[in-house]
Amino acid sequence: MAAKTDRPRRSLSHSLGMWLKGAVNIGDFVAAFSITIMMFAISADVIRRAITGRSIGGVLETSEVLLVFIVFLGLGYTQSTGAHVATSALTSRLQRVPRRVVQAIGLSFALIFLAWAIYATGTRAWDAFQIREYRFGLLQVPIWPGRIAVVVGLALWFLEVLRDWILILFSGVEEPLYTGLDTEDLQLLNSRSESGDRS
Amino acid sequence: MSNDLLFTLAPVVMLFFLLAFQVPVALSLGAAGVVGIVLQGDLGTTTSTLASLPYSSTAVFTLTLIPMFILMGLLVSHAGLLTGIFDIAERLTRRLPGGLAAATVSACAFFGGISGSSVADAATIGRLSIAEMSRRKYEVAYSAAVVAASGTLAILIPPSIVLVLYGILTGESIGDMLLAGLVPGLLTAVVYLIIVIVQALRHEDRGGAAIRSRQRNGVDNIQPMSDVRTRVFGVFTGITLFVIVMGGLYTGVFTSTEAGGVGALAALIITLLFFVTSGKPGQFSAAGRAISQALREAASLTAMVFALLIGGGLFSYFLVLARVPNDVSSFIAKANIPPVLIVILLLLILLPLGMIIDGLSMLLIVTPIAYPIVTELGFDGIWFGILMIKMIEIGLLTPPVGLNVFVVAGLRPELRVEQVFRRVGIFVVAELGIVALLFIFPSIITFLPSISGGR
Repeated sequence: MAAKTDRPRRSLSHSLGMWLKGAVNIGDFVAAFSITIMMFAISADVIRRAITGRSIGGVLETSEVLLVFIVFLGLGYTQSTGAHVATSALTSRLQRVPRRVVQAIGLSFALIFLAWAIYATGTRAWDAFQIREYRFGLLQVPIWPGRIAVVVGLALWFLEVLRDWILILFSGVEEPLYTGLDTEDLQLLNSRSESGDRS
Repeated sequence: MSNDLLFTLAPVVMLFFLLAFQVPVALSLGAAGVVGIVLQGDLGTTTSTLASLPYSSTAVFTLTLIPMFILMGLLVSHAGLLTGIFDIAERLTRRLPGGLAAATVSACAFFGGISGSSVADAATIGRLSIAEMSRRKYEVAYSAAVVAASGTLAILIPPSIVLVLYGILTGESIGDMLLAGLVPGLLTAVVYLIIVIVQALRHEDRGGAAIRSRQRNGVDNIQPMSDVRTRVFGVFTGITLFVIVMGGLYTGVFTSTEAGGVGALAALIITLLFFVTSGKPGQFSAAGRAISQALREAASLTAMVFALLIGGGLFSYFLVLARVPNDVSSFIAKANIPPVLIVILLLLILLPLGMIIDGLSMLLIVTPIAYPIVTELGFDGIWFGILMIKMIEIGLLTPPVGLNVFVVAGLRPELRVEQVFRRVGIFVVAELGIVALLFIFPSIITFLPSISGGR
């Protein structure tokens, strides 16, 4: 009976895990695309100024908004690859159980902080969207998409931290029911937390 | 204990607890900063700070330099041009005692001018050079120590992200910071070269065996790991990108911010040319793979750096609300300590701190407190910045969290981190000597920015 009831739950959690993986990958793809546009825009502006003595209007303002896309839409992917800097100077010296406890406590604070940041930036983004906020400059560049990107990026980061938090608490279980993570992911996380260096 | 002191200390203690609990540094800084803002202000102030700070501290044109510099280094790295750079360095130094170690130092100094990342330098060059050095009877721990130490050169030789971040945090000119790092970076490289030569002359397992072998059999022709084309492209790329970034700054053709964009585009064009001119089938897709991988990694690394900046911004805001820099300044003024001693103490504090947290995080935590004190005492902000970054370099090599040592030790399964820490000691001593030299003769740092006309 238990096996029968587990099946749909595993399937759902697996789907959620895959959805999150897809979402952070899309976020990173958009961030990478934004870097490309920014590089071409800045270079084109320099070349035009060198040739004609005149700048391309709006490059500065657009680059600023693109930078917001690059930074925030890459946050979730960065967490998923373990590239955010953390120090394991203390945790690597702890036994498995106390290590997981302190990591889970620490990440709980991080989750509360991120949730608060999502609420605050979300409210700000909604206001910006309603008035179609833009930045004054040579051109009026809309900045409300950037403000929405902040919320989306922070939400992806929150979900990735939540995923790590669940893993830390439940990775002792042979088949984590709620995470949708495969064995490879679990091994990766375990090796990350057990390694002497940083995640 | 007064409430004021308690409300100031609590977030600082919380920060160190979260760091110890392995929470990412950016989130630790952010969470502790938010608690600090709540204690100093109220919930409304905190929410409005959280609503505006992430966007306002990111949407700044000057900051576009960071993803562009990161992309520049990654493009060169993913194109595989570093092998060529290492081979050329090996050919140039093969007649020196400790030739391979000298090649490692030279390649790191050269690549440092492209990558701007110490860890990237250590990991990339380490893969190539440790194996070669082992084959030439160098002790593995010593080889790893040479790589770990040489990797730190990237933090000072422009383009360096750490130099850019210091400029952003303090308001010092980024162009001047980049210029100021060049001479101390090259000086460090020369000192490292002297160390590896002397070590080879004195120790059989640090290059001495290779000298003996050369005396018996003539110059040892090491099989190059790259073809001629890769070597030519490697050197051409290094020189081109350095000339673009530094030349642009000097001539004023573009600003220091725009140098990043132009440099990244040049790296992209060179990468494309490198693949396309190879004449091998499937090179277009290989180029596409290398470029897309570089772009994705650049986005991820940019997010990591900015997360630290935003977290650091929240924590700094709390420090300002709590008037910590002001209080520390007035405490120092009342204590009647000689200004030089204060700077020395501020620099020395970085040593134990560097043993707990990484360089970027240290920069973000210490700069908002230390910079106003140092400049108020009449010292040059750029001079102090370079000294501070030198101390961060040392932090990359000292236990327990010397990141470069961990990265290099991870490249060889038989290596224990402690062995590398032991062998890297001589480079740490040399670094401290260089810091003392730069401290006594500030013009070594300020000379280039001053002749550029920026100061």
